[in-house]
Amino acid sequence: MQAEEFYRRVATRLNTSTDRAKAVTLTTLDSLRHRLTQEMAEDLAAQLPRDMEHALNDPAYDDLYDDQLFVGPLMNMSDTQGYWDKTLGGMDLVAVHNGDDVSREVKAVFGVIKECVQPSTARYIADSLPDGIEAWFAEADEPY
Amino acid sequence: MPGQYSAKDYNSEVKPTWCPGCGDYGILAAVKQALQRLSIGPHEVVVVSGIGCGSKLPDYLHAYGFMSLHGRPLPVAAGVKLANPQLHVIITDGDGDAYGIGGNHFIHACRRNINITHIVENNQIYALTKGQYSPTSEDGFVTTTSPEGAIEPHMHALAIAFAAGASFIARASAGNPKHMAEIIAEGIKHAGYSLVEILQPCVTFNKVNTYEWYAERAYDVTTTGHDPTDRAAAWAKVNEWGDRIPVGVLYRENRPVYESQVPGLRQGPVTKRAVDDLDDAGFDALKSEFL
Repeated sequence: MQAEEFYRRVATRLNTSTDRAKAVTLTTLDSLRHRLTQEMAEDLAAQLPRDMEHALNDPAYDDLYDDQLFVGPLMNMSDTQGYWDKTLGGMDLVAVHNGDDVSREVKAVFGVIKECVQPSTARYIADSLPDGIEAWFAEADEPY
Repeated sequence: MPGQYSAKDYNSEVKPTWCPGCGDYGILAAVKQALQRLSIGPHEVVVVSGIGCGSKLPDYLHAYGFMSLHGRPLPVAAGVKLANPQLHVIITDGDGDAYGIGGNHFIHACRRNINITHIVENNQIYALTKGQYSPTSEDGFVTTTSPEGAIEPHMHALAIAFAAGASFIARASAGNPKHMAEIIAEGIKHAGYSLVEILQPCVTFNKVNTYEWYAERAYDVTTTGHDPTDRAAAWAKVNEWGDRIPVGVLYRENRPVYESQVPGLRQGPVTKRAVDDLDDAGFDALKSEFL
């Protein structure tokens, strides 16, 4: 699979553009990078499209990287690229309510990852995720 | 004794109300880990805060806490420390609270060198009040109060701290909690006023200084061989901001703490002295001060 196909599948799950899906995917993988050991990251990268490997470079496992930090960059990025309301000088009236949107986006990326990897890889990814995010990985199989 | 406490020992029963993904969650986790690492029990620490998102932290930590007025946590913390120097006193507030409204207290806390740890959650905006530019907002930063961009220059708070005489100046990033916990622990261990500024993304109201923005710029000063006891090198680091932002311990010096020089504390902490120690003459003298 090529990266473009990966992004297209994420876009289909989210009913959004491939550009948006690419941004969501790379940001989610960057968060995932903080929960993987070097060995895990290499194994996962080997099962993802080759042109996505860079997103898992330099894994930095940190057990303090919790569920909130995991979604933080996506919240930041979502607001900036997706929902920034400039009509009030940049104040975003949507962001505080978009936790559910971020959950949906992360699940979409997880769903496509699960389509790409061996069950054993999926298991250790699930085990390595912070409390609260682990359930999203399990739910990523559900119809969208 | 390492491992005396677990992270759960610092969990409060109050669920944080910060926005999903807020950098404050990482700061809370790092504070807990730093206390755990130093084997400081919940009964041995007081967290004093001001007003703002980051100032909610005492609610979410199982320890003594005091939420003061906007910009005023430093004098309260100083009072706590002088009353009972055996307590570890930590202040958590934001850039608006510490550098703006509390700017005067900030300068004198640096100068006095009371043994307290000041964690400034610098998200470069007033977030709790829904997004007004703060002293550390970038030039041209668009907010509700600066719709055409902030026209005031960005405040270099760490340089001010250095000039005012702070004996410990450090910075960490909320997106790197393990490193942040190490730096906070270093600050707590330091004898004297320790300033630990945290680069903290506000996911809701700051669309510019994001996790990604900080990650691209923050670099650990230990990778450059920085010597935090070298005043000239430290001065350069506390002034560095822009494409590269130094994190780690930027400056450290050893000098006497304020409370060790206060005449009234030579007989030990006020909290350890029984009121009954006053004899009749002493009690009469005390009463006369109020009559």
